[in-house]
Amino acid sequence: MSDVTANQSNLRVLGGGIAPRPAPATTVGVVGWLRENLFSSLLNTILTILSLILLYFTVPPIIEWAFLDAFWTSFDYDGNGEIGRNDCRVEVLDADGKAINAVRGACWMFVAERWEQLLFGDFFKDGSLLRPTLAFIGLFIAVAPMLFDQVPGRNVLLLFAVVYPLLAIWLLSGTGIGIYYELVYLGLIVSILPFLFPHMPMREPLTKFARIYPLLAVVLIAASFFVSADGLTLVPGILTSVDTHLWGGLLLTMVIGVVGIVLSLPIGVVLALGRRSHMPAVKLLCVIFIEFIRGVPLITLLFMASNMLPLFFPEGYDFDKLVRALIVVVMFSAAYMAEVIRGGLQAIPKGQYEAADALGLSYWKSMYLIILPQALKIVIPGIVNSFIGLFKDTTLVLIIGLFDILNTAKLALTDAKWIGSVKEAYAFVALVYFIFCFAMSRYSIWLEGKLETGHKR
Amino acid sequence: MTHFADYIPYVACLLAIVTFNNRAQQAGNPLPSSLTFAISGGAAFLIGAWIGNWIIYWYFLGIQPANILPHPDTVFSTPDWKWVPICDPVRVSSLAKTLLVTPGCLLGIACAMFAWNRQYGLENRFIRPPPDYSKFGVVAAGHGGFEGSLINNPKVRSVVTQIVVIGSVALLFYFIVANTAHNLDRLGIASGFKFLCDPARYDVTGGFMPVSSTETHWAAFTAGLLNTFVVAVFGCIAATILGVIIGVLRLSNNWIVSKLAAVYVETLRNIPVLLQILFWYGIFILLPAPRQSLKIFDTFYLNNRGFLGPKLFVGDAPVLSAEQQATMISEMGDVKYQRLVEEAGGEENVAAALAESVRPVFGDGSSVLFISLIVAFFAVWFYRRWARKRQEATGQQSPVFLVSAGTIILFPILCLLIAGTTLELQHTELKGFNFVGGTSISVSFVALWFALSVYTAAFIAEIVRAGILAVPYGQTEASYALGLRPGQAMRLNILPQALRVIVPPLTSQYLNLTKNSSLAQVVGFLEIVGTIGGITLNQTGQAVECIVITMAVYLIISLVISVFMNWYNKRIALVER
Amino acid sequence: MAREPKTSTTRKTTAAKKPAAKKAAAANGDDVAKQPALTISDEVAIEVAGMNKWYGEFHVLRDINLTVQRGERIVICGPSGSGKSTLIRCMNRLEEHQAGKIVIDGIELTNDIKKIDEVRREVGMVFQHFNLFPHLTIMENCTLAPIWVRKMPKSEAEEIAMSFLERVKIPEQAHKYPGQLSGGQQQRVAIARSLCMNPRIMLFDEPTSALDPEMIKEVLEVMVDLAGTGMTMLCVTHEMGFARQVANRVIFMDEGQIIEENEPEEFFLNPQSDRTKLFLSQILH
Repeated sequence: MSDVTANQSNLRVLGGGIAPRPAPATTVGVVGWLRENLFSSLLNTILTILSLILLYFTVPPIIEWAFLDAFWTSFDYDGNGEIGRNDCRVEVLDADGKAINAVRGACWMFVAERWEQLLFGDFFKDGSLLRPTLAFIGLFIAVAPMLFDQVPGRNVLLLFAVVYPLLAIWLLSGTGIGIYYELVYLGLIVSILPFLFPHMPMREPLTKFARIYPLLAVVLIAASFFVSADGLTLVPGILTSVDTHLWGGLLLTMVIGVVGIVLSLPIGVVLALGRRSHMPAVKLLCVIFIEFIRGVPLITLLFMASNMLPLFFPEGYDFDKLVRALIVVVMFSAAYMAEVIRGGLQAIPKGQYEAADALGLSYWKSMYLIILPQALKIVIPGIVNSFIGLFKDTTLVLIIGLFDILNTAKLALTDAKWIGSVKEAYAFVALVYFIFCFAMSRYSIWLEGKLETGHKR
Repeated sequence: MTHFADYIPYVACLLAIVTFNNRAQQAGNPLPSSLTFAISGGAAFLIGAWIGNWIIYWYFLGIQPANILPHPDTVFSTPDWKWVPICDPVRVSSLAKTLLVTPGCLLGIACAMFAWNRQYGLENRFIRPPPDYSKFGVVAAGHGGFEGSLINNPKVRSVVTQIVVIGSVALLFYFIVANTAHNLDRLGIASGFKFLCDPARYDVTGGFMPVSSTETHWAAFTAGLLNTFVVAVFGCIAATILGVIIGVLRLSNNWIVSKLAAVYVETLRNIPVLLQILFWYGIFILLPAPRQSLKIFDTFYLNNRGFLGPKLFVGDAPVLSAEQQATMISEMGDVKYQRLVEEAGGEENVAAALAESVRPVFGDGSSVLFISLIVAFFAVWFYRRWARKRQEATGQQSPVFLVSAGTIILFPILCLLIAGTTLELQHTELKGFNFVGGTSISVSFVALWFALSVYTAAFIAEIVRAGILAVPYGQTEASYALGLRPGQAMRLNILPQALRVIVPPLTSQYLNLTKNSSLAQVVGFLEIVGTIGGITLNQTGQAVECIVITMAVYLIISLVISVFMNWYNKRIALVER
Repeated sequence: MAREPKTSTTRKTTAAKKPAAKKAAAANGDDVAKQPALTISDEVAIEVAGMNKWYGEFHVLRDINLTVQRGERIVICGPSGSGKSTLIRCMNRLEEHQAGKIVIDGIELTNDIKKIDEVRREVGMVFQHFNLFPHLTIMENCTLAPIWVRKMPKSEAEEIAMSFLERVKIPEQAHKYPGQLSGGQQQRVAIARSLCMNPRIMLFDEPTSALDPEMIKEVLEVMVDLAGTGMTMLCVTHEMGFARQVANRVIFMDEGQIIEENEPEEFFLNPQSDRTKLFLSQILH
């Protein structure tokens, strides 16, 4: 080449008339997908083969056991007048080739027969099962406005949500909570009304009432310690009283889980704010509390509750076992929740705090109006994770003798008719937990996706 | 006779001193390093031993403190291989001394480091002083700013609030303590920690250190502690390995593999751990009876009593004196003695058989193993320093990994062979209905370990996946564009960045695993909560003390891990404006 | 000019450089700022023949034919989605092509790992988002590859790195971390980091697109300076001023094909294809 290049224009005009062509056959379509995803390298090929082998050895036996060979409906197949595990027996060949009667598939009859106990514990002994079912349905109605956005009649549902706890306690235990607390509760509902229904009549007097309500509440609670109410209550006594030791199964799990979740969030917020406070005493106390609770296993706290709590109070103060467990579970969950929320508070840029201050908002107002809404939105996945963890941890009350669904299943297994139905019982309990926890985690992912559009960094 | 646990505090001291000394050198320590070693090491050891002794003996048990400075003879020669109860200060076992000395040592070192830090000013964020590029004729620009100072609110309101808060908490405490004291009195329950030295009256079996019912509650407690330790350590190791594998598999572009990994993670994370423990326990006790055990390579056996295998003895069997033999025989009772004579094949073999029955895993002469291991570690450490210096100077790379691994594995073996230490492999054999000899791991432990590892691995897989995804793909591209090979890119760029995101939640998962091990009692495995938090509590009725001890153990573990995590976070924090 | 460090890797010997050929356009006494057309040797640095790439079913690069001589500076422009980034990322095998041939410095790019490594040693790349390693200091960022790939001693690598950092005018930041620098400073460090490997070809993937306007200038100055040293450069950029100043050729791509290719003045004054005209009207208002 010579200096010809010096003056030659580099012009090339191709005009762009090349139509798109299909990709080479080995890179697209089923073949392409297989090559890319399953067989792209030697290692991948080996892994694919190993996985297929694994699936071959695990999936068909499980499907056979759980579905194909299983007994689903209760029927007295062996004709001995009662329904038990023996009704699931079929003819199988044992190790020596002899034909014997043994259980081959899953005996879901166990679940069909014992579902009352598994779901409600011994509740049916003293009360109709309609009550916990109504409480369960009510729970979903109460939670709906928080879970979903476009729910009609949102404000009415929120009112229902506020009333729900008292309603649930009445349905489940058949009694109220004593006239003092009921009056406190009633006052709470009345003072919230003007916020929920901004256009209702009588707004003025209600708002005034809302201002003095906190003082009234404190007075009433203090009075309850000194003047015994002696069973006086506002709720109608039309339901039979069901003692908490009869609550069991899924009912108990839900009670502990829901109470734990509902109470641990506000307490966790308070602890998180306290931990970030500039007042050394408050900060130190919160830190000690949180680190202590997070450092010990829940079991030890439950032991502490069941063994030591009676010692902390004067004679005669008898604590319901369930209440003890609830106190511990709430404290435990609140500590973890506090750490999650603290992460959210730390993620809020300092400018937000400063802006709130500059507007002249007091500490609590700025928290409530500006900081906390943002912080909680950021850590929703963490909060839901906390909830899932709490829900799973309810199984631990087994160790202090409360009959949650796992313990109830274990108890049902001791019945002579159903001995050996271990796999069915645990599979059922696992399924229940899986459904709840998986639904919660999917919900959190959905919620995160929905809120991210407003919060993209 | 040496006991392997004797080396723990010394090794821990040395390693900590070496690391600390390294940092001090970088900060411009004016003293020669050998002097620093000597001073800080000696001081830490003395302080540690003294503090440990003082605290445990005198304060809790009201017993006169034993020998403050552990005499070499008593430390290195114990007549008894068990965790002799510290209630008898004369027969203090070396292992008990380990418990006292190690925390004391670490405390001493911490104090020394703190004082050093104050004087030489290693900054809070562990930032090394900027390297000196003035040889290039360049003046370094200023540092990025650190955070501003805390602004304290001096208003009266905050003071009043704090007084109110402290006051109410104090009142609450007073209320609780007064009631507790009154109730304990009323119910006639003793208080204080003296019960630790009373006989336990229950056996601790199925764990890693059998304790008979004649030994004290303290011995049972230490057996439970060891069990917790073993479950936690081996559980963490297994969970990490499994979790990393599954996390990486989940990221693979092999569709089947990543979906399988996802199914694994989602299923196991949504089922309570207690249920999983019970499930695996139910599976493992369905294994065949010992007579029909599953054989693996004809040396390992799996049956419904547990997992059995051979036992490796390093060092010789102990030589028992006549009185020791006599004591043992009288404790055994006639029936067992006759059986022993039968198995030994005559009365003349009884002495050897008795010695065999109490033979420790690391007996006489096993110190060679540990000394050679320590020497190997130091050799590898020095080699790596030399290799790094060589690379900086000449650019040549050395096969560091291979040499390190080879040295640590081969050098101790070589030393053992040269020293002629006895290495005996005792196989487990089926005699009658059961297996004797060898190592046996109870089925409860196997089920617990398996369940905890598999459960925690699901969480670790998610953490690993999040960590690797957190590193932007651009980092990999930039590394490749510079010519780094995938292995180098992973090691030098991706992993360091991923580890920043992985390590904090990983350590909290380790903590969770340790805390979940407290569920062992549902499968009958006695660890801390089972021994001192369970049986001891029920027997002595001293709920407060037992629960306090249990919680204290877990709190110490949590605190140590938290401190480590804070240190690690500060050290590796990415420096930003 | 870059120093020649002692390396153990084999390198092709450069052909003798012809004396600089003056372009006709430069004869009309243009601005001093315009770089003289230096050393475009007749040695082929990059050769792309019939290259096609698909993302799944999507035909992203269609029948690309391109030859780049050593010392040429080429600017590739085009609307987004036209495949320009994909094209230059195929040059150092960050993306794979399914059909056709790419030969860099005489080495053909295939699945052969050794060849890929060789190519990556000789080709430097600057990314849109800098991609500095946040856990290493600036100096460590620059010396990482020379130490681990070219097996240089640390002191030598540091000398070289410092010289390049001076070239990009931020030697005093050597001990800092990327998080402490501004965007423009980070991009300049990225350029210095690539230069420390002594590449023969430099690829730029929209180097100024992620920068604030006031920082674009400092980066462009560095790139102009680099062009003045005779480096073979392939830039994907929207900075037409830079193209005018420095480029030998401007390539316009759309829908995965090269539509038009010309010297900068001709390209901007006399675009031939309709699409080119449309594109230029959109970016040069």
